[in-house]
Amino acid sequence: MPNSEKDFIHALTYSQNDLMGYLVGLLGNLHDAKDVLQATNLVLWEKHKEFRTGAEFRPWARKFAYFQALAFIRDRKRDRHVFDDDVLELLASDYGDVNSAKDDERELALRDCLNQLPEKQRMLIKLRYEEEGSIKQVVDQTGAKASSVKVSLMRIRNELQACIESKIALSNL
Amino acid sequence: MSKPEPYDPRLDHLIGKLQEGDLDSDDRLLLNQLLREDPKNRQRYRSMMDLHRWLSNYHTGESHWNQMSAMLPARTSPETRGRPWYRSRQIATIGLAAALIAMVTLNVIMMGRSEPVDLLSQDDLSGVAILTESVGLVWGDHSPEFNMNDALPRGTLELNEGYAQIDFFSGAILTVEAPAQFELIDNDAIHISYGKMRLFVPEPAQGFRVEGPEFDTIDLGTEFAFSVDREGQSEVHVLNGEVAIHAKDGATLFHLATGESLRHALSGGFESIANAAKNFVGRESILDMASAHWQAKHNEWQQERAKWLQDPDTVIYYDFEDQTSWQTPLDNPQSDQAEAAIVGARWSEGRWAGKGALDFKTIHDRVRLRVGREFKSFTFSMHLRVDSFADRKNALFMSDDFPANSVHWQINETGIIGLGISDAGRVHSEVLFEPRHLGHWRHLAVTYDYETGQVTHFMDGEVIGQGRIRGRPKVQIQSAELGNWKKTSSNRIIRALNGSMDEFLFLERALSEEEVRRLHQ
Repeated sequence: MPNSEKDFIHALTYSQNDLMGYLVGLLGNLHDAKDVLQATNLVLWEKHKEFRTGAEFRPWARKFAYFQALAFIRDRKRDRHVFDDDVLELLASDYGDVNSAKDDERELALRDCLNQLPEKQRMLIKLRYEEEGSIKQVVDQTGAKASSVKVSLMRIRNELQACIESKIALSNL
Repeated sequence: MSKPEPYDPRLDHLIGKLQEGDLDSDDRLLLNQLLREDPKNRQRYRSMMDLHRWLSNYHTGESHWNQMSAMLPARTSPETRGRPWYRSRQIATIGLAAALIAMVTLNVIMMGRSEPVDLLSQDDLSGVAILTESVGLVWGDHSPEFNMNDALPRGTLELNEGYAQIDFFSGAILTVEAPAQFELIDNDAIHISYGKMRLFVPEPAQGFRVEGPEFDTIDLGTEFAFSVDREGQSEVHVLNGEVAIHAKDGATLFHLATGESLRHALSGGFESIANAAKNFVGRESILDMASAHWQAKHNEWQQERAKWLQDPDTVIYYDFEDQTSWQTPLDNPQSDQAEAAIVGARWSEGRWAGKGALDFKTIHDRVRLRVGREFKSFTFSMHLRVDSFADRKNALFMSDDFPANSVHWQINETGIIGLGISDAGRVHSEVLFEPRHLGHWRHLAVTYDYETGQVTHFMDGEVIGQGRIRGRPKVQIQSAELGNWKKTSSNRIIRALNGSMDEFLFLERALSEEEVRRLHQ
């Protein structure tokens, strides 16, 4: 395998997190984002010869991800899309100036914050996300009402986010 | 909290609804409006979606590295596994796929480390040939061990006992009789230290070079045999066609045609000898030996099988044998304790010619079974061939849904094998199911010891991971599936195995390491 291909695969591998985050933002849905990421990876590979070594990989890759996301939205029924075109553009362009190196730091903070949650809240989060679950899973296993589960989950996520932000703020002092 | 939120207070509610999939059209309009009018709202939206994604990654054991493996249907046919959306695309190359899987795998290994590792030095996954037959092979100390159908990389092979057939990617076919030591130089060249071999070279592979200690033999369209003994005395016998004999400096010394033979004596000279090519093992005889070998193996296996059937702790034994292809209920010779039905999966051939197996190919293929009781300790044992990690996870034994104390046994997309007991925890294997394991039969087993809470993972009889389950629960095995996962509330979760199974055993005790090794053999 020529070096340029190796470099390319290397760059692609290390951009997966960035691309996934970008697509989740554009599509508002984890499953859809995973599908579009796979399609994007294939397109990127097809286009790898067009990539100039030394150029910035992530912005280049995001461009293709953006078009894949648009194609995905277009192929769906009209009523199932989340964002209007102008909002998509805004969301996409916001990404240009975000330093994704911060992501790792945030992810580590999340681990700490999860561990600080009271047992019951951690259990709810676990039920919701484990095995790619859903609200229904939580409702089935806890016997709680769907509406109250939703409220609880929203509250817990907000707490987690606040916790992450405070940790990041501390580490930046 | 007296500080006012910098973003619109209605936003969190909308994001919450989006994440749970129940955003209605009014919500949608409002969400668009909020994001449109204020970058702070967009920043909040992005943070909350990142959190959503990390929570999902954290709890499913997926990481961002792994996303990539989903694009790698190394052996999958697109019409059965690909989602319709990009079904028509062909995957770039198997080589790429292999390289990517390797990188993803390496990445997982690295996750605990902070300094970057040069993944790209690990490039030589591809081989120059394939080991297509092996009969009673015992490998020497100078070479790694390979299994049948493994790709063979450049490098030295040493065989102490047995016979092998090696198909080069150039098309040349080498049959070897042990003892032998030789080096695969490329897909059209080998160097022999000692051994007896026969080489068939079809037209596309013409020019194949066999380097000996004293001279090189260059094929000119032929089948020929050669040997080098341990003292360094070499012989060449041409069965058909022509070869050129070159001195070590490249000069052509002789041409040999059909029926001609030559020996390089220790004294240094060449001499013409009687053709003895028939004394070298060729492809037909290797095939005959292989089939006799498999027959013996089948008999051994049947004896072993009878012992397990008599074991009072055996709850389920599916041997995938003697089933005509139209039968869908799966016989469990161990009584009617567990009923099972095959859905979609097709009958095929297992570890050796004549051994039955079930192929799991489409995302609907599964074996449904019902046990319906509680267990303390248990063992799962499975002979299986995984063809790809095209999906997120490969189901082995999965309880329907995942109610309290039920069991999930699966291989995740990076090749780590996990046993999870709902609400109690999970234990993962350390050794990874690697790209080189794809497409080959492996024995996997996992044991759970109720007394200690200990879970032990095995591959091919070796321990590949151990850990404890908190609280030592008794496990509930009610309805479950082999090779797939039934989830009532599921919409798009795919856990279908892509591969084949030719034996499954479920015992209600934790087998010892020695017993697991017996199952492996």
